[in-house]
Amino acid sequence: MGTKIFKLKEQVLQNMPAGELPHVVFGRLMLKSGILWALIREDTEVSQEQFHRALVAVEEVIGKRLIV
Amino acid sequence: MSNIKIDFSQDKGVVNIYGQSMLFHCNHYNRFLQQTIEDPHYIHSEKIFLQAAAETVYLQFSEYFKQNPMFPLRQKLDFAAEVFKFGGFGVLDFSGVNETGGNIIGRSSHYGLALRLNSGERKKAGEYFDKGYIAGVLLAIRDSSGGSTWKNGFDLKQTKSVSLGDDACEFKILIGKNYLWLEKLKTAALPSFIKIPARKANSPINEDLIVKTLAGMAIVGNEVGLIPAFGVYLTRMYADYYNKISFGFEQELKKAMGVVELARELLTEAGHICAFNTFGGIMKSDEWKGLILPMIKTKEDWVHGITAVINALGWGVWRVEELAPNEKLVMRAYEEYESLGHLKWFGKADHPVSYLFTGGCAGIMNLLYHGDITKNPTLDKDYYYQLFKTQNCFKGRQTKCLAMGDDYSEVVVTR
Repeated sequence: MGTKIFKLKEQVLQNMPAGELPHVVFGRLMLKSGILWALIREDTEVSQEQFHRALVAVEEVIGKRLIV
Repeated sequence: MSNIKIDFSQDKGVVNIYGQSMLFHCNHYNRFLQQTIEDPHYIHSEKIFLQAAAETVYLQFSEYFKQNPMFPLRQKLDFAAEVFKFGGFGVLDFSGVNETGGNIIGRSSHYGLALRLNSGERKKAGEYFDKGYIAGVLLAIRDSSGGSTWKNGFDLKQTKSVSLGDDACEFKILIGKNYLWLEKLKTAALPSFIKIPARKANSPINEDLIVKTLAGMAIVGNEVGLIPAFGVYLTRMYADYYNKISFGFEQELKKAMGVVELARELLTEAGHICAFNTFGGIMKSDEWKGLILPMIKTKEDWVHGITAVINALGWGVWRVEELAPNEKLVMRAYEEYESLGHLKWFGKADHPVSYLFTGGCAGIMNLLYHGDITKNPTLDKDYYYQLFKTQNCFKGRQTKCLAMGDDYSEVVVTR
């Protein structure tokens, strides 16, 4: 359960690139997307535009498109 | 034998080469810092890198050409290639350049190789420093020739890139296309600083000998213009390049997002990476074993030993103010390059800006007391994670900052 952005965050945690540190990955995602990932909870909602930015940032940092 | 004149001031911990402060940093620091600044697409990071490199190099070579006004074009270009190689940035071949344009081949590139170590696939050439360096050299040549060479301006087009997998870089000079290479050339006057105090610690470490020995070592680019040392690739980088890219990035981030906090953690993380790889590499090196280890009696002497080494890197002068083994480190830095850069190019700061200093101090404590560098561990990603991201690791907090008007910068490291 949870909102789309929360599910995306969960997916990121499950798809950490090998050898990458989670705080660095989320720091980079924060810079790229302008979203404070640490504050995303189960009920956090973001606009469609923010979600799109988050998806693009995740694809660039993780190196693959994640489906939520 | 190099013709490059190095002016090292041990009192200030600064290396001056034709008017530019230059200091050592490793490939891991360089690649991570660039990645951080490149990440947000909503700021124009390429411009930040290119201008920072072009402006800094332009000022250096303008100074050098002023001292040597009769040099012909070829001699100026040869000297530019020599400085690039000396600094560990790689090999630039200017033989294809003449008064009407031409191309430059980067036969090897520190940045090109370093960026390949970042995760993910690059889509764009990343040798911004190399490109900005070339531009700075060409502009200094133009101005030292009374404006007769490339007088209608130029741009550079990169057609090959080591960071994208090519075996060399190539840059073509596009005459008549004027890129805004130089924007920020005038510095603010620096205030006067307090006298740097002597070391406080009672330790058998002979800092004077260590600094003199290290400063006298020929740590320069090899035949491919790289400096493999201490398990990393070093560069003797321009302090103002770091300062302009870091604080220019902060400034643009603030314009775009209204806050700079987004960047602080990653800029400090770059300091952790530097400490882990460079300090850790130094403390495992033959030079450490030969020069410093014989002076060491206690684990705390390792802290004083690495502080002595740091004072030969060109970063300013670090002094251990307080060291409680396995508990706390208070480090002060006098005339450290980050604050100096902020004061010169961006004025007085409204928040602490010594990110490398903060991350570096935390790194020293983690290397010694959260891990144990004295046991010669392998410096890999697992060990990095253990040192910097497990519970109870040491963290640095900047409590004073020269750039904010304090007499010195200070970092307190605790768990």
